Amino acid sequence: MAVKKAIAVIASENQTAVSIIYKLAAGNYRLLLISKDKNPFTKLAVYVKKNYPNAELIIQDCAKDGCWEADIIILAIDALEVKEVAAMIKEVATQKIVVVADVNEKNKENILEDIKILLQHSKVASSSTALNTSITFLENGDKQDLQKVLDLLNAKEINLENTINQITQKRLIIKQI
Amino acid sequence: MYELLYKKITETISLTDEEFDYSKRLFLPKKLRKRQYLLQEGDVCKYTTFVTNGLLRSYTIDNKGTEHILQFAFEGWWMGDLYSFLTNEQSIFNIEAIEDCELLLITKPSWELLLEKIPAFERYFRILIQNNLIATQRRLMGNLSETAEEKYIKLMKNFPGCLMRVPQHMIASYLGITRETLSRIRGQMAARK
Repeated sequence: MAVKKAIAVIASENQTAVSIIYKLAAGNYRLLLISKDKNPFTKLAVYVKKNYPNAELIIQDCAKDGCWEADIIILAIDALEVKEVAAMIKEVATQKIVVVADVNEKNKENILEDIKILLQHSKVASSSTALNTSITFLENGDKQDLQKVLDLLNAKEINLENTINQITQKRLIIKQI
Repeated sequence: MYELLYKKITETISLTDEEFDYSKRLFLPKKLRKRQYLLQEGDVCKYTTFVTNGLLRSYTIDNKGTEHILQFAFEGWWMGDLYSFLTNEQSIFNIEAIEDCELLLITKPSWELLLEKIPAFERYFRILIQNNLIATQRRLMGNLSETAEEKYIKLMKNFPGCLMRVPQHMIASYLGITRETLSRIRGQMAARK
């Protein structure tokens, strides 16, 4: 029996984050959901648990602790926050795969260049939509690492569009109440 | 995070600051919660692990479902399945956290790079493996020739902290005796005091 991998998803409340978390919940992972604001993940966790009762979701607010525990780190945050978070986690991200998901195309090259310097001892990958699209390894990664990322982001086929819409609708209902 | 690693390594070999800085970047820092696994039987042991905080145990389960503890690893100790690590074959061991742990993991390619770039590490790991072999031989001899009480007394003498941190049933498993036998030995020793 394989040891469950721990994946830290650092995210703000955005569609990319929701789709990544939902997709990973279908796989056999321990998900550490890290955000400055806990509330969006609390609601999302309840929703995910309904659909995947065996999913292991842990909500945390400390990026450093979460990434220390993680085997793989996914940054699904706004481009402006990526550098700040990378500086925070660099000590505990050494030798780990760090996927920078959905970096704004406009500033992508500059941001990735900065990340490459900040996380110089990590295996940094960028993914343009974080779903089934291209993965680029920037530094230190090998074929096995690439395969790990591809496996991770293709855990199970689901209809992401519907999922995101359902979650958004539920959130609206909760707000109305 | 790396202070204990530096302390333990430099007890055996000398390293420059540059050499230690280089070696640090090859380790993967990992936190493990109590009862989580670092390795499970049937997996390949991809890492050799240094314990900076917490406590690990390695064990096997026999056909009858009985656990046999091979080793505990306290702060400053190394843990892994060397055979699986070196050969890339499936491990027969489980490695589990007895307490919340902070660990430093190194893969085989990184380990080989470390030995190549800083030859002093060849000496460090040679001495480590040498000491491990001696300890294993002594443990084997103890199991073959000592009474349960002698084994327990030796454990108390060599690892006094073990009794405070490790549950009794795990100590019994490590000594190769039943829980009842361990309880009886402890009772007899207490009565003699």
